[in-house]
Amino acid sequence: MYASERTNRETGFFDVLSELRLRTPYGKKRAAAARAFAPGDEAALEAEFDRLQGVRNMLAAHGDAAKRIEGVFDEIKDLSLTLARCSELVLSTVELFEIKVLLLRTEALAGIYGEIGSAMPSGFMPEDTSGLLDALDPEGGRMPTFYIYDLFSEELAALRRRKKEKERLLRADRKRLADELFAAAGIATDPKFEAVIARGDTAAMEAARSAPQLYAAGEDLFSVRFALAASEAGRALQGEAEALAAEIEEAEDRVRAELTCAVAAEAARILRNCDRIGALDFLMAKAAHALRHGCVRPVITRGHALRIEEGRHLPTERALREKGHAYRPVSIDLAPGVSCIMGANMGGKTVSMKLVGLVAAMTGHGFFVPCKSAVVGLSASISILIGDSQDLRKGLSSFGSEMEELNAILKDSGARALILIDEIAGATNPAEGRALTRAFIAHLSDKPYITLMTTHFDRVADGGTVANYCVRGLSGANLEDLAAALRDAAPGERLEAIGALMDYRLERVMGERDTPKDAIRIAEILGVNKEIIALARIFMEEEHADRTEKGV
Amino acid sequence: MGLLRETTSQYKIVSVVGMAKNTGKTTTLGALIAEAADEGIRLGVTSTGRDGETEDLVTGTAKPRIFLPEGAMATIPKELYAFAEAGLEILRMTDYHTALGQVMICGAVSEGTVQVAGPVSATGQMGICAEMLELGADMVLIDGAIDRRSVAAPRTSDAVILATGAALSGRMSEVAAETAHVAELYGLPTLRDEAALAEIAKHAGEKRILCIGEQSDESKVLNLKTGLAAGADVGGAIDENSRYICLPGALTKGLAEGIPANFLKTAAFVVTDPTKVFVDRRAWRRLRDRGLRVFVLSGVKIVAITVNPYSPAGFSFDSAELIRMIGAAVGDIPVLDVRMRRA
Repeated sequence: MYASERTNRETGFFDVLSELRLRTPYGKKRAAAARAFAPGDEAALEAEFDRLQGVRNMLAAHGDAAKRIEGVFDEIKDLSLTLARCSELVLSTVELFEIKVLLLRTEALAGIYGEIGSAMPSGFMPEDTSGLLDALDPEGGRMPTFYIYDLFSEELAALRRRKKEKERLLRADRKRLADELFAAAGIATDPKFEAVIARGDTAAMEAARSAPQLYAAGEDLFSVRFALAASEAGRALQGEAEALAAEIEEAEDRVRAELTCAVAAEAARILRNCDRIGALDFLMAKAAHALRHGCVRPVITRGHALRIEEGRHLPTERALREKGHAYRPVSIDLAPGVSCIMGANMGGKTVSMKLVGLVAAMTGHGFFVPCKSAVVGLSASISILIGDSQDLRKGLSSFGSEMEELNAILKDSGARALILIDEIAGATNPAEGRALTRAFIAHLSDKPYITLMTTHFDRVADGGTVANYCVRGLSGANLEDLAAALRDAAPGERLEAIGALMDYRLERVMGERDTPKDAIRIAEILGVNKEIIALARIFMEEEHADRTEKGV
Repeated sequence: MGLLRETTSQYKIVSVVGMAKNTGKTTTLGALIAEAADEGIRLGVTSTGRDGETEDLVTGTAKPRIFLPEGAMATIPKELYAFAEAGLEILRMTDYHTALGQVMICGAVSEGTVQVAGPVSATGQMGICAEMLELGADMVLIDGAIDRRSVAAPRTSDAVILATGAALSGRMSEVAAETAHVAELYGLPTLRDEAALAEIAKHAGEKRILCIGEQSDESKVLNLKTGLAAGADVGGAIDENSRYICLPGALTKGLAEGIPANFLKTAAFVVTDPTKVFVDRRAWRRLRDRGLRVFVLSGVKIVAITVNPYSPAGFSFDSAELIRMIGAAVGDIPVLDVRMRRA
């Protein structure tokens, strides 16, 4: 498996997918069926990027035409079932209508593509189906309406004319009878040639009962419903009209059968056109996403690598922007082996780790990436291990579930895996936690994976085999300014104020260095008792000296 | 009969609503459609639920399919298209869905019977009426769902034709009184007090009961969403300065009865439209006698009342007598029996 649902959720890749504005059922199908490009698929991925770039350029340069394309896309219906059935059974009038409308919309798209001209990426122009459209549109009006029109069959038209004539004669005959009745007995009938007579109206009742043209069709306590009896000629006409109706139905069935054959002959072509619509829909959604978020085409390398320059984790960026804060882009350079991100709490280590997963997943699925630039060597799989409150709800201890999950990741990962581990053993006691972390790093450092870990433990890795990164955190901030800014902030806003001053950018650490000691600093800024802060600093000194002595 | 000729000049969308099952709504609709054909009016027909079935599923009484003359439009769900005897040109596939498939707007190329169904929601109804008018209908008739008067709210239709009849009660006087009750509710006066309207507009989004006082600074929003069982709370919140009690939801019997008698005379209720009044006839009469006044923000115009003297229970009234009795009870609304062709 390329990435678990959990990985797609935690990295933010699901957010990207759900943000895609797909408009056609074919585009949705294509997106749902999309598989990641695996190592070895680089050429295919580059071809996909070429197409995406072409579509993005088209969107940027021909916004109005693109809007019109989207408008047509919104009206595209999924007719794959109809097209699959048409070789086996006769299509209904409604189905033929839908096929005609689909062909009209395909033709409309071809027109817009033509207007865009050379800026329209190749490969999307629909194949010509005007022959079938002509067959479904005998009037040639290209209207989005449909009926088994008289023009489809001379035989049908003649039958309908004859039936209409019989009905006209029948109505005239009844009208004549009704007029005779009115003249003879003064009884008026309604458009259905019926008359309801109240029993209380004895004169009318008597007249109706004695009128030979009328018969009682229904009655109750207060009234009798009389109906006009058909004349012999009328009965004959009625029978003829009914026989014609049956013939008309048969003639219509023959027309539908002929049209179904015509559709079946073109079904494969229509389906290919639908595929192209789906492909363009998916690419336009991706391209629009790239334009909205300033995404760039990553450079693809053959080896396994992830080099991100000024990358932005989109869900975090959005959350910060909603609160009025800016997101500071993060740069990182990862190669096979283990890399660690060290740093203070609140330092954004986890977000940087998610960013790495997001850039890898987006590249793998043929998306442009939210970076200034990126060099990516495809991963065969992506796994993320991150604290999840869901497991706690299930009743497992966080440490226990973490170990189980890590076990699974290590077992399933093969060559060119990307493994992201957040604060392993962070919840257990520091001595054992550090020991376990060191052991995992030692185990993973000679595996053919790219592993990225975040940790707040000190010196779990030496600078030789492990690349260490450190969050800048508050190291660049002026403590006095900070304190001043915080004095006026309401208690609830203080944490946010610190968050805004945090520098989430990563710095490569060469050689050995302790993680920055921002925790005590943050406590101090938040106004923790001065004596406690002073004491904490003394204890830190002691521990440091202690460890240096023991050579830890 | 001239019923349509009179209404089309003023209204573009007319609902036919039955007070109960078997009050002759479909018969009325059929008569109106026939009249439209005679008058050369291009009609669009839709329904709030599936209708035009050959048989009324509940009581088994015969119920005619709708006869569509040449040129008329109707909303037909995909699954019912094949059952039409009329020749139907598909004019548009709409975005509305029913249990019987997506709704299409069809035009009759040749006359015949059809089974009509349309969207159930008021928004859907409005949308599909607008689409038919856009496609060239002169007027749209809505076959209102039986006993579901709420969909005849002013949001959907310009005017209403009310179908009533013997199905309501075995006593003619009772039929007349119930019909008059509904006619009275539909005829409730529209609020014209500009200051009060401005105050209501200001608080429109809050969906809370609003009390408007003599002076604008005396208005208060009560922390009550609905009037259901809120009678005592509303009663406790108003005083002699309260002029209007504006309800975002329904005016119920319990709510109205919770208002102290002396304030019932000084404060009037305001509801969005007449379909929001849920007070039975006897309680309504009692409350009116005590001084209850109700205004609506938008009214529903009843343009005609049609009667069906036949009951599915097997008895019937004398049509002329029923028309006379209802006519006397409702005032100046025309009352007619479309089958007797008597007005």
